[in-house]
Order: sequence, then structure tokens, then C-alpha cells
Amino acid sequence: MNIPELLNVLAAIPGRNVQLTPQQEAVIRHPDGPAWVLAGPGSGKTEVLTILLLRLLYVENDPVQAAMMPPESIFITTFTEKAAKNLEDRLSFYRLHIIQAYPQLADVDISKLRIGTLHGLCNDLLQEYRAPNYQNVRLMDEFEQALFVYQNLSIVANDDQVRDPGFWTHFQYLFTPREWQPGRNHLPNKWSKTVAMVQLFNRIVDDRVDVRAMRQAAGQWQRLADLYEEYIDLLARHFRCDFSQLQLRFLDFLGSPLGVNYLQGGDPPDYQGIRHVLVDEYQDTNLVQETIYMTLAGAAPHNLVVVGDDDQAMYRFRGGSVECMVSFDQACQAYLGIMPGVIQTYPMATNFRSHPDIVQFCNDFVTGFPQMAQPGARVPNKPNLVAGGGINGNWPAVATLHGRTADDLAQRFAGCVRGLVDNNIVNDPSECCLLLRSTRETSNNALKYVEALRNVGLIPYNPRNRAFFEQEETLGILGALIAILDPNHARLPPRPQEIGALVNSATQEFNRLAPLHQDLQNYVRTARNRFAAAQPGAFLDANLQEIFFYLMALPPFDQWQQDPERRIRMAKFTNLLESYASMPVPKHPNVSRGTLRLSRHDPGEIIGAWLQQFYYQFVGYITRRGLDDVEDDEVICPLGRVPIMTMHQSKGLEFPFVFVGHANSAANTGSAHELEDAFAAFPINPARVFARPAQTVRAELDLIRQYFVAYSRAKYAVVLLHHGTQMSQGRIPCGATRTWMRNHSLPL
Amino acid sequence: MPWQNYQNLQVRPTHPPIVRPRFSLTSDIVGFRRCRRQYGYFGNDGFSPAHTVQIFYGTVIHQVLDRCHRHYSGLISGIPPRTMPTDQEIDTYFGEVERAMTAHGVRAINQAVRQRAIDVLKAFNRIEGLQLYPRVVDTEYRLEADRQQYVMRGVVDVLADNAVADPGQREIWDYKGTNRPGGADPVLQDYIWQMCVYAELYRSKTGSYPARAILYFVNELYTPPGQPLLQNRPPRAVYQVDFTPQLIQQAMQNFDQTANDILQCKTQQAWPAPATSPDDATCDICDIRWNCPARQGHYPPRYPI
Repeated sequence: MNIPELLNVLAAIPGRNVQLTPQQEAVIRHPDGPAWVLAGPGSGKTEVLTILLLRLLYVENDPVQAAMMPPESIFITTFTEKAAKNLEDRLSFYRLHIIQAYPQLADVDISKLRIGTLHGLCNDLLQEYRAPNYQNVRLMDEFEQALFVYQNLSIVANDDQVRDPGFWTHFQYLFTPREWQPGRNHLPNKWSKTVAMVQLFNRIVDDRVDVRAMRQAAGQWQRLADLYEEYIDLLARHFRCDFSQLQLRFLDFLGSPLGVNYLQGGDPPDYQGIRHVLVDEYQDTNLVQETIYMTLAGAAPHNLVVVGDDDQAMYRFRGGSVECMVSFDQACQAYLGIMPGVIQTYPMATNFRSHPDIVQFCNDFVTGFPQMAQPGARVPNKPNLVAGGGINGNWPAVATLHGRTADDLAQRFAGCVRGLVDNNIVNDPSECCLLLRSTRETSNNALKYVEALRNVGLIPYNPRNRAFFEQEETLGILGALIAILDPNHARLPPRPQEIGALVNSATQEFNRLAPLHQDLQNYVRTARNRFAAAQPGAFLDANLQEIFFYLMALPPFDQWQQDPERRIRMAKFTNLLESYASMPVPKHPNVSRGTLRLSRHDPGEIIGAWLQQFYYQFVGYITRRGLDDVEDDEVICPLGRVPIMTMHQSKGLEFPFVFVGHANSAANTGSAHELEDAFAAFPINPARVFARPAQTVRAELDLIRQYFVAYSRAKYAVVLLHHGTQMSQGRIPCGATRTWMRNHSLPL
Repeated sequence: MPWQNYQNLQVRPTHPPIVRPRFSLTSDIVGFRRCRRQYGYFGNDGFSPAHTVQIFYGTVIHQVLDRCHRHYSGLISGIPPRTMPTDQEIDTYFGEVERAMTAHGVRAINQAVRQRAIDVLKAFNRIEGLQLYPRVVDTEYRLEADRQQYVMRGVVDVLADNAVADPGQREIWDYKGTNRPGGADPVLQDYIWQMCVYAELYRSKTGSYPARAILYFVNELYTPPGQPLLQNRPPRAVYQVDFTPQLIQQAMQNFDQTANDILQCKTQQAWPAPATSPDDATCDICDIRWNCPARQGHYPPRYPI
């Protein structure tokens, strides 16, 4: 099958309408070598990636591709697992039609393709090849990594009044003024130190920092290098790995004999090594990931196709470097020896998603800021988006909705959604999405909107509200656990106050529930009586996690399990307990943290040190970071509910109506900007040090991109929500000047 | 009213793509068949089990045997190919796996269980190694079925050359860290069924069925302290599955039915207890047994002490 035949098969699929634009087809016909695909919002990049994959798998005897590519020689990464599954499903769908027309192609085994997130693929391959640095390793999530650092790292576990003040002062930008500032007569608390160290360790990897050079810089940099090595040693000793280290271990693997075989092939004899690398959402990649991709594509002709949109980069705070996308051509020169002018660039500027007015608005918004014209801010010579979708009509596709106050605005927003639903303008409330910078349910963020929606009979869907421990089942069962383990809060630490606040809320909730549910009340009372009657120092027959399940079998928790959302919250609670219980106990390798024992000295009570650690570490983390509510990975928003999302959460999604809040957001520099500058002094690869603009400018660029993403999610209408005088304050969400938004939108 | 600006508009209905679920043959399909309620909680909703001692035995058996295969293949640094692992090396591999599991909070329930695992691993190595290791073609061999509503995945412990006839034809080996169930035991029937599904997936990947499947019950190699060590394979250690078209067809029908039942439960977000209660071995280690409708009264509430 050649490329025209492939396209004919796809075009003949009923109801699918696979018609490529010339720009899209150019990507499909990319011959070989690196390709830089600049895919604007709504430009059909997933479809193009899918068809490019089909070409690699099934096309032969074509001027562009002589032979079919073995599936195991193709490596494709997406930003999320869901996106990977979506790509696989599209591929399977098209495969069925292809083998109907060309039955001989049924032998191509697409299950051998490597499709997934980069982290997922690194994990799979390291396990599959039994990489020595990854044998029997537990991959820690954010919660476990923080607990691990909290419990094991010397600078967190012990205060050194001589050395530590200088160290923390050097990295003072990692703390909010509320947490700690130099000059105070105490050191940061353990959780603040933990969060700071985790950020430093992750960035050392993500930014490809040369630790030896950092050590040679002496002073606090030397101390940081020592602490990093201590952390690496702790990870090895305890058979653990975090998500940043996973990438580093994969890179090490690629340099080992096993990895060289994976890259170059030869064993088994018919394995040809990695021949094509395709990367989606490249704008949010970082320097260690860039190195991995360049290594994977190390064999000539370096078939590395990166797809992304620098205007949609949003993950600097998590280590992403938009500069990797903006200077992809320079990376190819640095790693692959290819001159920048030779790199094929493929703009995909046709937007199939949005009303033409929205497309024009997005173009004007992103190009209206002088900052975006600075060298390095965007990919050079990037074309504007062009409307190419089927949505057209005379309505205010770009609008603003004003309220006198925040309350008034929330009510007007809710009334508008109610009207759109009641008058069948939308088919379901889930077609109206509210995008905010933070969806915590506080008065400055989502709370007023949530309440206003409920007041008009609409149900919001806001899983990233950091309100996991505000639900009655999570609070209630935590309260029941505490009622068994420490009913008088005898070991509750006085500080930080947040721990006490959560424990008291949980206890109040338990005290409310217990009188209504005699079985629960009796169970807790009997358990306590048994503690009192037991031998001092006795081990309990159940560990922490088991007690949770005992409680779950009692009313009201048993009945609440009929509700899937409540059940999944309880599941998440068990995950947290398991993570906590799995943590090694320093100096006691054979002790499990979930094991409970009665005190020898305090009859009928759990050992005080255990309780204190539980409060400080388990409850402490939850109160320090907050936990999002549960969300369904398989649906964007359940039918019948109004999605409230962060702008980051909306990446890759689209909605008929998009309401955008926080119109007066200001660009603030943060620790991510500071660390970028600081770590740039110690590059492993000096050729990949970026000439970045000042931190304040970078913060502005980040905010512009964030709102560009938010606005470009809309299909039929985008509505900016503002109250009071927000629109005339000249803030970035309202455009480059104080009057920009008024001139580019219609008031509702 | 703001919405009135849009009263001439009617949003066209769209159907966002639904990602097909991915099912693992062992943890999803077999798990659901064993008990749909238990599967719903732990397999679908993501509850973490309270106890990890159950996974110690099976995990350590699989991982040490995997090291033995790689040892013989010369894939372990410093070990020349075609060298049999010694008892001392089995101890070393066991120690490596055990240390890592301990670091993750997974331990043997007691010393006897630990010793039993070491003993059966050495017995396996002694009894099967010379015959099996040279025939191993691949370990942790992945299979996948692309069905309309879901994708099914499975991993075969060992793919080996056929010992009996055509060496081009393969055998699949599956290690079970248990004793062999009785012939009529539904657990054994499920294992056989699982092998038939592997066979069909293998056929769709390679074009031909494997010659047979070998279910290996490693616990049958255990000899109590004081008794002479086994030198030959006891007959109960192995159950050989010979594939017939009818057996495979029946297995695939059951498989599709089970997958559809899972999809239905997922849609309804409800995982009712099975009408017939599972075996005690399944329920005795289940964390949600205390209020299970299928075992009412069988497990009275338990207290922490």
C-alpha cells in the first residue's frame, strides 16, 4: 500500500470524513529526519499523528517510504495515559478498515508499538529489560516521595542551627512569607523543608544539572550536591524511585549494553532497534526528556517528529521548558549535528474547532503582547491560525459577562448557564465549562460559582477542588479512626495548627455520625474497652489499614458505598494509608509502619510516638498540600453536571461554551523561574543553556499562554467573566492594553 | 438575560471519544470471575488491600524463577550463558527480591512461609532446570487482543520450545505459587480456561496455537523438614492443558461474556456480590468480607485487639 492508497482507504470510511488539508498531508509525507510540527489548537494533531503512524506501519513502495516499519521500532509518547489510549483506539479503528481492503496487512502486530507517556514507557522498558538500576523498585508518587524525604533526609529530620540557616536563606524563594523567611528565629518546619527539597531534587534532574559542577561551586551549592547524593543513596537503599529519577534511570539504561541493543537492534536478529520517535505535546517537555528523545533518535537519519504548540506551554511550574520546543532546531544541532536550517517545519494552522471570531480573537490576543515578539518567546515565523471548522453564525462568539460584585457575577454566570440549558441551546450542562486558574472552593476561586450553580439547580463537577477531606465520608472515617486510636487527642501536636484543625473537624464529624449509627458507636466503644483490658505493650491484631476496612463495614459507611463517588473517595483513602504504611521506618528495617502496638507506660493507649508520627506525617501532609477530590479518568465530565476546571486541566479539551474567570490575574514570578536561572549555571550540556528573558517577562509569557489555552478551548462561544473594574485594570487576561478586551468582545 | 444572545443557536450534539478499557486476563477477567464484588472494589475502584503478605509468596516465586531463567541465558552480569544456578545463587536471588519487597512493606507472614518458598525454588531449579532452562525462548511474554469494546492483555510466564515434538512449536508455562487444586475445583477450571485464552491470543499473534500449556504448581515440590528432598517431578506438580478447537472456542465465549459483564458493571458503577459465594480461600483474605452479602454471618465483626 502506498500513501495515496492509504488515504483512499481512510477517506472511504463512512461517517469519518478523513480529508487532510495540504498542511496536514505534508506531515504525513515527511520523508525522514527530524520534523518540527507546530500544531495550533483544534488543528487535528491527534488525527495527523494517527495517520502518520498508519503510514509508518502499513506503507511500502512509496517514494516517501520504501518499506513498512516494524511496530516495535516505533516509540510514541503522549502527555497523558488517556491520550495514549485514545491514540491506540484510533489506530485500531483504522486498522480494521485497512485490513478489510488489504487483508495481507493483518500480520502487522500493532500491540508491539510503544505508545504511552514517557514515564509509563520508561517504567515498562526498565522492567521488561530488568534494568539493574530498576529491579524491584517501588515508583513513588508525589505523596510517597514527600513522605520519604520527610522521614529520611538528614536536613529535614534534624535541624543544624549552624549550617541550616545559611542553606535555607540561599534558597529562600522556595518558601512563602507565611512559611518562612530569613531572619526568623526558627528554621522552616519539616513539611516546608520537605517540599523545598523535593522541588530542588526534581529540578536537578529535569534541568539536567551537573551535580559535580554544582559541588565545585562550593558554599550552599556544595551542600545541595551532598544532599542530592544522600537522597540518591537513600532511594537505592530502600529500592525506591521517583518520577524524575525514573527518567534519569532510563537515560542510564540507554547507555548500557542492554539499552544500546534496544536502540540499535540486533538481538533478536530481526529486531531493528528504534527507527522512529514521535512526541506529542512537545511544548511541555523538559531538558532531561529532550535528552531522552534525542538519544532515542540517535541513529541516522534521526527520525524524530515533535508535535506541539509553544503558545500552549503551561508546565514551567512542574519543570517544563517551553524553550525546548522553541529551539528544537538548535537541540537537533547540539545532539544530532544537524544544521538548524535543514530541519523540516510543518505548521498546522487551520483551526477546525472554533467559531471564526474566536480564532481571530485568539490570534489577536497572543500576538498583541509585545513580549510575545521577543526572540525566544515563540517559534520563529509562526503563522496565524485560520478558521476552518463548520461552526459559523451571528452570535457573540467572543463576549464578556460583567457583575457588579463577585457574588453578582457568579449569579449572572449561573443564570446564563441555566438559560442555555433550559432553552436547549446546549444539549447538556456539561457543554458549558468554567475555567479558572484555581478551582479550590474558596471565595476568591470557585466557591461563589459553585454555590450560584447549586442555587439555580445545576450540579457542578469540580474534582480538583482540594476538598477531598471536606467530604462527610472521608472526614467521618478519619474521625472514627482517631476515636479508636487517640480519642482524647492526647498526642495531637499543638503546631502546625492545620493538623489540629483537620483532626478536630474529623472528630466533630464522627461525633455527629456516631449517635445516629449505634453500630458504629458501639464498635468504637468496644474497641476502646478492649484496648483498656489488653496487656500493656501488646501488639494489635489488626494493622492501620485493616481497622479502616473494619470501619467501612459499619453504618453509615457501608451504605455510602452504594454511591460510586463516595466509594472511590474511600478507595483513595486506602491508597494513602497503604503509601504511609509502606514507608520504611528509619533504623528498623523489619518494622511495618502500619503495625500498631499498645503503650507499655500508658495503659489502653496506642504508643505515643506512633500517634505523633501519624499526625505529623500523614495528617500533616494532607493539610500542607490539600488533596483533590476523586475524578473519573475515563470521562471529561459526567453528563448532567457543569464542569469547573483549572486551565491546566483543560489542556487538549474543547467545550461548546467556555466561561473564563479570574480576569484580573497578575503575572507573578515564582520559585520555578528562580530555579531555572539558578540551575542554568551548572548545565550538563552547555549547548542547551537558554537565553531566557527576565523572570518577570517569563511570568507574563506564561500567563499569556495560559489564557490563550483557556480561550482556545471554546467551540461556539468564549465568555470572559469580570466584575467591578477588573476589565480596565490592564491585566493580561484582558489583553495587551486597558481597552483591548472592550474592542475585541461583546458585552452580554 | 445573557443567554438570550444565543437563542438562535443550537449546539450540535457531539460524542466525545470513549477510550476502551484495557483488561488484564489475570487481574481483571480472572479476578472478576472469582468475585465481582471484590474485583469491583480492588480492581476497578482502586482500593488498596490491607495485607500484602498474600502477595509475598507468589511474587517471590515468580521473580526468583525469572532470575533463574536469565541466569541460564547469560543475562545476569558476570554469569556465563548455559550455567545452572546453584542453591547458593538461589539464596542470593531470593535475598535480593526479599530485601526489595521488605523495603516496600511486603513480608512473609512467618519464617516457615519464607523457608518454604526457598525450598520449593531450589527444588524447581534442581528438578526442572536442566530440562527447561535450555528450552526457554522468552519470559514475561506479552499477548494482546484487540476487541471492539475493550483491549485485553496477558503475560505468559515462560514461552519454551516444545519438549515433545516439533521444536518450532511452543509451550506456554504458567507458574502457580500454590498446590494443585482438585480436578473438579473451579479454580483449576479457571486456570485451564486462562491457558486457552492465552492460546487464542498467541495464535492471533503468531498464526499457530502453542503445542500445550503447562500449569506448574510449585508448592507440590515442598518436602517437610526431615524428609528426603525430591529428585524428580511429582505428578501433581504439573497439569498439562492440551488445546482443542472446542475447548478454545468455549474459553473465548466465556471470556467475551465475562468482559461484557465487567463492562456492564462499569456502566452501572455497581459490583454486586456473586449469587454463589466464592471459595473460602478467596473470602478469607478479602478486606471487604465483613459486610459481604454473599457471606452473611460468616465473618462477624472483628476488633483491632
